[in-house]
Amino acid sequence: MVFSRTRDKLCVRAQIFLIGLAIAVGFAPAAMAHPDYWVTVKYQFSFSENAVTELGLEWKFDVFYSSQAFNRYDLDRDGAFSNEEADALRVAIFEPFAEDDYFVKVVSGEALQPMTLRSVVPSKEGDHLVIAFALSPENPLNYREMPLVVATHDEGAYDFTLSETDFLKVQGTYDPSCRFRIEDGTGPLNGISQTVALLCAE
Amino acid sequence: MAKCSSKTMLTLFLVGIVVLIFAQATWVGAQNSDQGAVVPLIEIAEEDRGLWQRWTDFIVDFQRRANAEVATHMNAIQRGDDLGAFFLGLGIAFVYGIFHAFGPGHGKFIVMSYFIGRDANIGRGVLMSVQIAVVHVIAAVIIVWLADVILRGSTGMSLADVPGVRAGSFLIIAAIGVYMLYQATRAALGYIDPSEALHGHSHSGAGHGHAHSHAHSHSHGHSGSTSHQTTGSTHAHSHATQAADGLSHASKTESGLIAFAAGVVPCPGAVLIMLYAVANNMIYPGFLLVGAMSVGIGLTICALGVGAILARQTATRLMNGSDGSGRRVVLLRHLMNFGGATIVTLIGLVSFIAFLDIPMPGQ
Repeated sequence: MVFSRTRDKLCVRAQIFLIGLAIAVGFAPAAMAHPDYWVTVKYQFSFSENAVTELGLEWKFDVFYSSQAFNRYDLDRDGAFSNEEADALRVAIFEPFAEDDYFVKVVSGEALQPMTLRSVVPSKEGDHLVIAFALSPENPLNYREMPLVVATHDEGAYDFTLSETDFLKVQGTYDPSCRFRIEDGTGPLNGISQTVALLCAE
Repeated sequence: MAKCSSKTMLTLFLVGIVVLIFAQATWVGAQNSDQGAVVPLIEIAEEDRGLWQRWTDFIVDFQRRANAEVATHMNAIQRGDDLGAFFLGLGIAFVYGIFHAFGPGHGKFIVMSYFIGRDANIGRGVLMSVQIAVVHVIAAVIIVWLADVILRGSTGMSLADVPGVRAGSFLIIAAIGVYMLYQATRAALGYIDPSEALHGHSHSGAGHGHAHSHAHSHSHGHSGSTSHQTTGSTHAHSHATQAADGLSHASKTESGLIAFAAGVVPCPGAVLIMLYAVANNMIYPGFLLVGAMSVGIGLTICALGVGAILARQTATRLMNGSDGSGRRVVLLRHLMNFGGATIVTLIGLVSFIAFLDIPMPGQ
């Protein structure tokens, strides 16, 4: 009898849990991330005269994604990409990202800044495909006048997260009163975590 | 006792895998740079995140680590390390599948909408999730075969990229939704009882040849928990379990089609694991790892599908208890039938339109 009552209670709790789970997850906002490919990101800010002139990025892909890239584009299996192999990889894998602005969002003040691709260099690092590329703004971005925030984000299949080591480098000098800050995005970057903000005292 | 201890072992195993994966977590921080780059001072904001955000962060973070762990264990298998690596890899792939399915996709919404719009027993929910998992694995294997033989290892390719597969999947979903709407409409107009719309066939005898006179004896074993009070109005008793017990061929086909449509586009992550396995001559371990991942995906879908079934049953039971006439139950069933059918139809149609890249109104 006691066992039966306990079982009934457990059953009710299980039912409540499953109904709650169904409501919470099944009808949750579709914006919830659903990545299939995993990429770690490193940034390099290039400075010149109180402005950011170029943004370098380095993407390191997960082993499974990388494996397919090597199988398809490292045709001679020498562990490196020749110029021809690199070109083929760039065209097939990287260029389609242009449609999404390479998933890179640069905000100066409150406005998203258009960026132009400067260079793309794929390489092999152990079992991982690494793609290093550089973007430059139309005009140098004055970070002292307006906060500069950078993020890499995809709503779809790619998950971008900051590398656990060396995720931020700078080239050139910047105002020492300014500081880098990793924070959740706001404004145009709302909903994006791990944005890199360069903030200066008023 | 034996049951309890095996459950406890399973729980400990799953928790152990989660802990193991997170044990390796190291938080990002300012690091020394090399090659002459300046070391910046980096501040990491402590964000006040809501429960939902923390939960989604956890799921994504877990998957990121699980993906890396599966790769590590596949390498260990390839090196010929002990079987422990293989079984741990299976466990991680399984839990990876569970968490991966929490994200959008994998047919969860379709399955839930379907079960909101159809009476079914829990067994039906479990069966459908098993079917989806099986279709997922088969689809992953087929696409890897296609990639290997025909398409030669296209990066990130999935069955969705093979012309027609995705479109076909959406059209099947839309067609089933329309069929559900048709049945819901017939029930609303009184041609069939709303709960019979759940059977997936009419009892009128006109449409189907089988003898299913409406006196079904209720002798089939539905559980005692189902309320089954006859109210006197036309068939207004709570009929959920009974309806579900009477699994007609038509409804089996219907739910089988839903499972096929939801599972036929495999997750690209699983496809990449399979491709990796083939490329590294680990076909059977790869097959089992993808199988374990698909079982995990199926388990999540199962939990959500069963949740939807229970939600419908509970709502019906509550409504039945609040009104002796049973009219509210009938109304509720009509609402759920139309609601579920409409959502399934919309998912199929909107996805198909998006696939064709036709601008939506207002775009």
